[in-house]
Amino acid sequence: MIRLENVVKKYPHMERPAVKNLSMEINKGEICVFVGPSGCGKTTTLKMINLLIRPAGGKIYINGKDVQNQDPDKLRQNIGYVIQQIGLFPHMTVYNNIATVPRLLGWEEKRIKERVDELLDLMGLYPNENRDKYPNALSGGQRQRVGVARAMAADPPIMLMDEPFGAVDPIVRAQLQNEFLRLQEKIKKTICFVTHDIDEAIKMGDKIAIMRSGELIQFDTPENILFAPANPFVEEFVGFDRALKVLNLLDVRTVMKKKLVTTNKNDSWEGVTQKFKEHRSSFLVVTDDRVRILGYVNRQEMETHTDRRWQERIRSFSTTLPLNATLKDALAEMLQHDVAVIPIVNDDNELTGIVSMEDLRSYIGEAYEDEENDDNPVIMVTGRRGA
Amino acid sequence: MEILQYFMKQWDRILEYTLNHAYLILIGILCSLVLWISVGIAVRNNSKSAGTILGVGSFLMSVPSISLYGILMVIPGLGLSRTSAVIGLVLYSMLPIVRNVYMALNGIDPSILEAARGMGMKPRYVLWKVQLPMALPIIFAGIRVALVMMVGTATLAVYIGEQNLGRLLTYGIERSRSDMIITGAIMVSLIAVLVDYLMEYLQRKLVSPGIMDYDKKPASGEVEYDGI
Amino acid sequence: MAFDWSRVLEVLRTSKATLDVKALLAQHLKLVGISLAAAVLIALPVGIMLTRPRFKRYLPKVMGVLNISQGIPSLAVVAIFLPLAGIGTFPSIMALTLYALLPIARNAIAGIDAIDASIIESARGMGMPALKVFWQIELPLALPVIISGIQTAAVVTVGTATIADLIGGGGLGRLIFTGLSFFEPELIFLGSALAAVIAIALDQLLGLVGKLLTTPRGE
Repeated sequence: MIRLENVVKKYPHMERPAVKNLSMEINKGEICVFVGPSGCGKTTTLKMINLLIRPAGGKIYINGKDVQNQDPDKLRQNIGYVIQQIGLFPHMTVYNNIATVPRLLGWEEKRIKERVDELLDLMGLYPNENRDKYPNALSGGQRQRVGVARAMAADPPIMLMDEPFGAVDPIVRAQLQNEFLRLQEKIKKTICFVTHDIDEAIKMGDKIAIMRSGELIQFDTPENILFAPANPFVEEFVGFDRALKVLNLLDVRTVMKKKLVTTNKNDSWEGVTQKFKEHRSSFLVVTDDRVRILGYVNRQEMETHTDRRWQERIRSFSTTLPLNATLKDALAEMLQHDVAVIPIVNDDNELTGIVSMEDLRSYIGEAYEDEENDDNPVIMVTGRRGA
Repeated sequence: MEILQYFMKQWDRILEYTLNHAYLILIGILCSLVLWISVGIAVRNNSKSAGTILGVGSFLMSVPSISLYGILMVIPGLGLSRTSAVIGLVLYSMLPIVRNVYMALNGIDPSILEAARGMGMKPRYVLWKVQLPMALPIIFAGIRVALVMMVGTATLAVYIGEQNLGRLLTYGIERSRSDMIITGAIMVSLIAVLVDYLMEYLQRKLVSPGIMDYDKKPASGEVEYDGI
Repeated sequence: MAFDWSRVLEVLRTSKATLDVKALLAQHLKLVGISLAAAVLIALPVGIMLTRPRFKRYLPKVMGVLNISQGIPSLAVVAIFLPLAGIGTFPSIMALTLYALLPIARNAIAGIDAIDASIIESARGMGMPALKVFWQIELPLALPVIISGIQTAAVVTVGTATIADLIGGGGLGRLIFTGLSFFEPELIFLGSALAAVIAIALDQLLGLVGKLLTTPRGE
């Protein structure tokens, strides 16, 4: 939907171009995050899409139309624009701020009123309370929300966002990010997002464009960037803890086992050991006669304690996780509760699957298998170890 | 040019006028500084008194300087004297100096003052070692304004008996002598501009570079736009 | 010199042409009114134009000149019009207008410059045409500072107008200078007091206008 072809921007007072020969395509309905160190050209690129900065070379197409052939004002009226400092008009009420672009487009006041209320609602701000407030009566988070609402007022298909959540504290920022992602699920706009924070990029982006010194270094899905960084710069930029970042990205459904290998509590020690051998699993779920879950036994523990009183080593599940929990959540819970296994439950609290530390390790291990051959010592230890 | 001729011919008179002009301003500014900076410091923590004082200063400035002289002239004990002239100058410079002292002292980031007190500094110490130095740029700006204004106010002081460059202008007008008028106008303007430049130079030299934000560049990462 | 209050009252009631207080008052107001209006009509547009992207590069130079001319004493400005334009109402108005240009232009520029750049950027980024941005965003936000500049100019003009009598402008200066020439303190007082009153009244009036025109921001 947005296509950049060999876009160049050079400022007279700078030695190297701010943006050098950038070519990429952003698909409809995707969030594309531009990320990179300070001065990499990400904001410049963003601002060229709505012509706040004029490209020195190359072309930019939106839906096949060259943006430079269009009237800049009309172009921008159909693109939502949110900046870090927000730029709310201090002398206008929240209502009038949000109504700005609809008014420019000639909407009738009735429609505008409905839309403003709808947006305030969407952003989690009570319309009756906030409609007539002035920006200085709002908190930082509220201002940011109004800023986003204002950008969405005319329902533009494209939105450009330059560090929109940067000016608030981390807790509010996380809230805003989550709310925005939820919103995007419903409205599916094409979004270009600029940030310097790689974690935000991974969280928000369907695609990530990593830039450096005006050049596009890697343009890929978050998974690919984490699993296969294109060069040492990307590796370093993403962070050497990228394995952990991957955990944050994937949810438990990726590794969870739906088939439970069970054993009855009345089974003999030999029977249990046999089951372990058969299924090569690191744990077995223990049920009672009525197939109710009592807990689980850990293979390692079985092997360490040579007495046969395995029933004493049945551990109960002290915690569960929902289906949309990330692998990082799972790891955190395991570490915190000192368990190796966590059941996954659905919204109705029914057991849907199970995640084990072993599953986590093998999944990540396989993904980074190739890097075992690198001599970079900081990469997380991989490989399958016998459990 | 007749102006140049005039200048050469009356050089000694012009010099005398200039010196008187300078002398008057000097006394004026010294008295003003002593008086108004003290007042500004005195009311720094009292917004009500400050409001009243600034109101008075504002009122004084609305009175045309010629009027101020006119009124001073009438007061017994003053009349046509240098004292009256100085009082006129001092009264006129009340607002710029007091206002800037007050605003500067109150405009300091409270967290800095809190840090100072937190370190155990006594209020007096904080005033002299922290507040005043930090307030210096703004106070200096106020003094600069007052000083430049004084060049003009002193020019009018000829109506209260002073013999300075204003004479060239008033005589010139009375007798329709362009050469006097132009010489006078150039001289006072020159002095005003010189004083202004001098003050700016001093400001750059004396005030700590840490408090001046002369060449503010946009923070790195902040991209300006082509402004279209 | 003994101050004689009855003399003050006498002068107020007189209709002698040279001391007709009402007429002089009217003349003074006329001088101030016309000059101020002219100064606003010239300085505002010029000041605003200088903040537009196209002319921004001239801004520092113009501001430099303006700031230098700030120091020039009012007497010099008034006096210089004598050889230039003679005496009378018109030269007086010219001098007063010239003198009032500076505070108005300076505040217009400062007021617009002071607006947070991100507000303008977000407005343009939303697709607001430049003209709309000026009328709906820049002007309203800069208005308090602009009006403050006009206030300053007004007060200064009232004061300078008193000296305008020297080049034939008339007004309350007539009272003052007559008083000076004939050693009549009552006249000096009258002229001065009235001038002060007008100056303060104008200041308050413009302040009120400013308040009415400024949109509330809940501050």
